[in-house]
Amino acid sequence: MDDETMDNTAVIRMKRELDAYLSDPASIVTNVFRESRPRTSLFFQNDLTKTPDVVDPRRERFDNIGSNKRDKDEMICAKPFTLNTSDLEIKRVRLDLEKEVEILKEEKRVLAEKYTGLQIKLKFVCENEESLKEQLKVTESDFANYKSSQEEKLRLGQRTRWRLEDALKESSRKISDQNLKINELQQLQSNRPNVEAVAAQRQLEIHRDQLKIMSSQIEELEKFKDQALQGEVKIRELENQLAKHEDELLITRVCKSKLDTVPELEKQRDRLIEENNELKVNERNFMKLEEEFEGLQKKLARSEERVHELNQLDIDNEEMRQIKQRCKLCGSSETQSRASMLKQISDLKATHLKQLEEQGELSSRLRRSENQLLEFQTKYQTTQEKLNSTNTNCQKQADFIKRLQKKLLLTTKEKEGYKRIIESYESEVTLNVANPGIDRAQQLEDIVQSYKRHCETLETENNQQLEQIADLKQKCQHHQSGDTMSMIEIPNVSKTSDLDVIAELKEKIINLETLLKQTQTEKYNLECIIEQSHLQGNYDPTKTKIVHFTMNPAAKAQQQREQDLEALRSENEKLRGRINILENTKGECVEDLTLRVEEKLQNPSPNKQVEDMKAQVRKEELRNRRLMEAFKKTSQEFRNVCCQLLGYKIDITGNSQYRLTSVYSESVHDHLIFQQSSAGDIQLMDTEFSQTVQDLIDIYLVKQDSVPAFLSSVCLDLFGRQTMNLG
Amino acid sequence: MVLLLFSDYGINSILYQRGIYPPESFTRVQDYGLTLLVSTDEQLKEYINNVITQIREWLMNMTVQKLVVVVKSVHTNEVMERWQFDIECDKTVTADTKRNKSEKEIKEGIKSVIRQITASVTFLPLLETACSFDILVYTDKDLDVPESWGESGPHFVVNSEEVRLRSFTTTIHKVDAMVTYKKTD
Repeated sequence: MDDETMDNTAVIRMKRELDAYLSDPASIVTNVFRESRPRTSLFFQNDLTKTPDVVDPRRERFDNIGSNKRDKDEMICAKPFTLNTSDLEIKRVRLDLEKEVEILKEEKRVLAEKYTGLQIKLKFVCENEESLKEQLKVTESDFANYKSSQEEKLRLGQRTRWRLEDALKESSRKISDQNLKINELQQLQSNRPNVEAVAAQRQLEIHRDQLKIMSSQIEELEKFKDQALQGEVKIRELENQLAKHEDELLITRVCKSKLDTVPELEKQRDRLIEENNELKVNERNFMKLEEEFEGLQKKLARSEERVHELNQLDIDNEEMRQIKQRCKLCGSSETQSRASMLKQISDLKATHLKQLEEQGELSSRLRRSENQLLEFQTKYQTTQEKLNSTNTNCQKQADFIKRLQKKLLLTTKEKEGYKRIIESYESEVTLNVANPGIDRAQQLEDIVQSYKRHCETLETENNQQLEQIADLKQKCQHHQSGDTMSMIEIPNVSKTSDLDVIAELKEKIINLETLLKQTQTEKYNLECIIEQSHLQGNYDPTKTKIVHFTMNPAAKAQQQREQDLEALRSENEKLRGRINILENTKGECVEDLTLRVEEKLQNPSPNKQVEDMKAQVRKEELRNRRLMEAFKKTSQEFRNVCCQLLGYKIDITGNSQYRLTSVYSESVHDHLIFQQSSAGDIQLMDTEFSQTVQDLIDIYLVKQDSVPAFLSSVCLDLFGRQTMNLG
Repeated sequence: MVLLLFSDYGINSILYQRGIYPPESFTRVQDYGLTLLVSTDEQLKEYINNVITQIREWLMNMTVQKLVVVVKSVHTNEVMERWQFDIECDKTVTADTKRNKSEKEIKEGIKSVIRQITASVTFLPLLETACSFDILVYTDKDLDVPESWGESGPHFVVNSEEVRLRSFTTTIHKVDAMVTYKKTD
């Protein structure tokens, strides 16, 4: 509560100070202006003081110019406006401060509530701590008492035990002594009367009773021992609880120390809040003062500009005034001078326009002359080129003329030579020979003239061709920028044939280009196919092979899967057997179901056995069939080979009888029959054919006793007959 | 050799990325500036070591052409993916030739290939069924193989899509990597 009142008083004090501060606006404005705007304040003060003297001329100035008076009035009116704005700002500041005060109050209320909650918690914790301490003390005292009592009991129990043990020992000793005595007595005094025996028996019984008592006491001792053990266990448990309580005590002490530091922290927090609030207020005031400073700076700049404009206007005004004075001095000619001035101005404008027109004309003329210049330059260049070309032609012509002149000289020399020869011939030769010589000379002259004419024609043709070549060269030079070969004129001599050849070549080129494109596309496609196959893993089996580790994880997984499948199938069959048995028993209790199922699986049902047997039979039949087929095949092959090699076809007629038919026999009925006896001997049976070969039988079987020799002799005989017949 | 180490890491990363073995059976190893995953399954390690020791011998003789890791479905025995590494041996190289390429460049090349194998998970289809793998080696036709190795088919992927990955060189060998996977309709 004290903190709250302190806070409230601080807030109220701040409010009063703010109100006092805001209640004196003039002082604020003057202070602000004095501190930051010395010039403007002076200016304003000067303006305010000087208004009655300076107003009239200034008003005239403003009448002439028109706008500065209004600015001045505005400037004069601006001062109360600024005061009003400062009042508004002060009000705004006040509202802001009030809002902040409310916010702070709310925060303070929240903090106070938190503080009360923490205090309550602290009290609760302290109370708990005290109660726990009391409980601890009580438990400790109880524990100590119980411990002491248990220890005493233990001690008593131990003492009684020792006593009883001693008593037991003594009694056992006594009993043994007495037994010995009894035995001695019995031995020594076997004839004594029964009274002593009875007394001894009584003593025995007494001792037995004592023994019983001892045993009961021993049992009680053992009970006490158990109780002592239980007491010890309880003592241990209580010690553990004690340790836990001590730990809790430490924790509560630590919490208490922390809680003691809470009020100090709260005081620090309050101090920091107050400082923060003061700083916030100062910051806001500072921001506001800065804004006012900037606004006033701008106002100062504007006013300075206006002052500058005013000064310029003053200067202009003075100039105008001087002009006016001069005009006044001039007197009545003001209007005339004005008209003349106007005339002069109009004349000047007209001259200015004329000059502009002339300027435009001159510029157009300039452009035209420039264009003409460019044209003349191009013409000059072309003419120079033509000149050069004509000069070259002239030079060439001159060279040609020189060559022709040389040729002429040569021909004239030849002519003179021939003439001399002719003259010499004429001089040497007689009248008879003169005619053929003259004729010869005339022929030679004719030849020479024909040669001359031929030369002239050749020269004219040469000139024409040279002219054509020059024309072509000129055209080539003109069309060098981009004309095709077709624009160049082929010489007239081989024009048509070359065109055809060129057209053919062009067609060939086009065809080859299309072929090339096709082959390129095919090549690209094939490369793509090859790349794809390479990526897929294709390979050349003639050069490479693929190997892998046989015990690889995929193979192992496959094996494992097959094993799992086998296990599942067997399990499935077992489960089906169980279901069948259970269904057959119709819900009755079945003993040893698993054994029955196993028996059933080992001894499957007759239907199933029959099916299995049938399947086996089929397999065996198939196997037999295949074996028979294979046997037949091999036996047939063997028989054929034997027949080809040995020359006899052997057939088994039955009962160990064999019929041999030779390859070279003349008819099918020419065969020999042999029989194998039980001893293994082979004997020849009588047949029609055997009668025809009786001599061979006598030689080889009767005398030599060799069947192979006999058979080979028969074969040779038949072979001889066959060849004789054929030959 | 660098190539064998790359093969070991490459096979292990393929097995991890494609989920053929459970991720908890892999342990992390730092090499090539990357965190590489290597299997701790003893049987798998033994198998890979056997394969790599044999490949080392064949590489020395320059008879290895390709190394292929094939991923097959256990249930249907169908080939789902095929990771192929083409190995080109420069047969003019002898034991005395010096390397023109620095070790750093070689490691960078290997690093980029292993990264690309890891990144290929983004476009490869999910392996929904349980799968197993096999390692195939393309060798010369006349090579004698030990008894524990046998001939196998190429294990092509039916209806496949192919992607070529980066390659790297060690001046003795040039390795091109590519993956073929089954198209998902």
